[in-house]
Amino acid sequence: MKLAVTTLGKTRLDPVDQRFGRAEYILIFDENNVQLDCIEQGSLAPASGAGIAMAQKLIDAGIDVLITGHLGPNAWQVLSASDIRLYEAVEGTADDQLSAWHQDALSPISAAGQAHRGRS
Amino acid sequence: MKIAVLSGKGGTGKTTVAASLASLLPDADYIDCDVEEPNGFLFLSPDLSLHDSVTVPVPEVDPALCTMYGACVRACQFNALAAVGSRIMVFPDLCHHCGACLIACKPGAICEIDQVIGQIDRSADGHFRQGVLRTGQPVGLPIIDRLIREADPDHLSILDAPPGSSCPVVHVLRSADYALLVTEPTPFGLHDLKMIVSLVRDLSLPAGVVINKSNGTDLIIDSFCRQENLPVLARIPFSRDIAVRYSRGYLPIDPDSPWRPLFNGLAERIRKETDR
Repeated sequence: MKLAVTTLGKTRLDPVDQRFGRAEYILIFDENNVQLDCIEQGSLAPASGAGIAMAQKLIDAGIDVLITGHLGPNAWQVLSASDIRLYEAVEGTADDQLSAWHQDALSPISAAGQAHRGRS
Repeated sequence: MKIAVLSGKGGTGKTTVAASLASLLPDADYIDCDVEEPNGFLFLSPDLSLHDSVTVPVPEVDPALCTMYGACVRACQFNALAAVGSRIMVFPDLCHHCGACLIACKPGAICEIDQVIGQIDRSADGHFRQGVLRTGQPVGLPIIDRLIREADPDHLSILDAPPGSSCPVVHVLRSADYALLVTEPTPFGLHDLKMIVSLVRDLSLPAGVVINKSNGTDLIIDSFCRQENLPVLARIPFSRDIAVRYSRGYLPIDPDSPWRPLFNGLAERIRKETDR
């Protein structure tokens, strides 16, 4: 089982990134909280379709659970059609997300947010 | 002969100048290339009885032939495709109509379908044409390209360009024979004039400047034009009368207008400049 968390840094103690498509990093964990991978994106996010590209990346990586801030309409369209379960991040670090998920304390994301919200 | 009317900065008077020239120059065609917000029709009152749809090709995937290999998704540089579960999703608004997905798909599961992005309106006499981009469509370049492609090469065409100096303006300029740069004597006017002049130089186009909202001296624009060796073809005064006419949908060259000789002089200067 693989869980993905969008973060502002490359470690589990870094804060969650509220952006999905343009997230700085995606950390990938297993269900025992072992970090499996770190996808670094930063300024390499594509000019257009960043949310779609990131969603595709997670689908291809076989992610089961995604914990992030806001999903734009396009990312939502892709991810809601996939088998990935989507959860809204709580304030705090990547570790905080994992413990909240284990306690079943995260709310599922059930709709798309605003487009281009994470565009800087 | 195509004369492009540009400014860089919005609101300097492109449409006032372009529509006035199109009215004064005999048999000139007016082509409104500002497809996101065409407004020349407000002043020229054409009949606009003819309409053509403008379409772009976007991919459509035949699920019966698709093997979900994902070559199309990887080929797309604009992330307009995604492979989810057992289907390929298409995001037409992100598509740049390059056809790469079509080439990448070995089983031939992708074909292109026409998507309407806007239209071209024409007057029956053919002297007025405008492009209109549909609300919500992100890219109007195919409409601009078609407007210009369909311009009669034997006519004098006045191309009313969009503001700015990015792709839509480049698409107008690269087909033009002469660039008429409308500016105003403000730091913003000068800043954007500089940008558009560097574009005109890159394309090796002859150009002249019209200073609108002139205060009579226009020092910042004049010194730049001298330095760049750009002729100032006319100065349109900063006038409440012109603004009032504009707000009512009248051009400063209407028969009762005291500004008509000024624009006649500009038309004459342009004729000389383009005859060289």
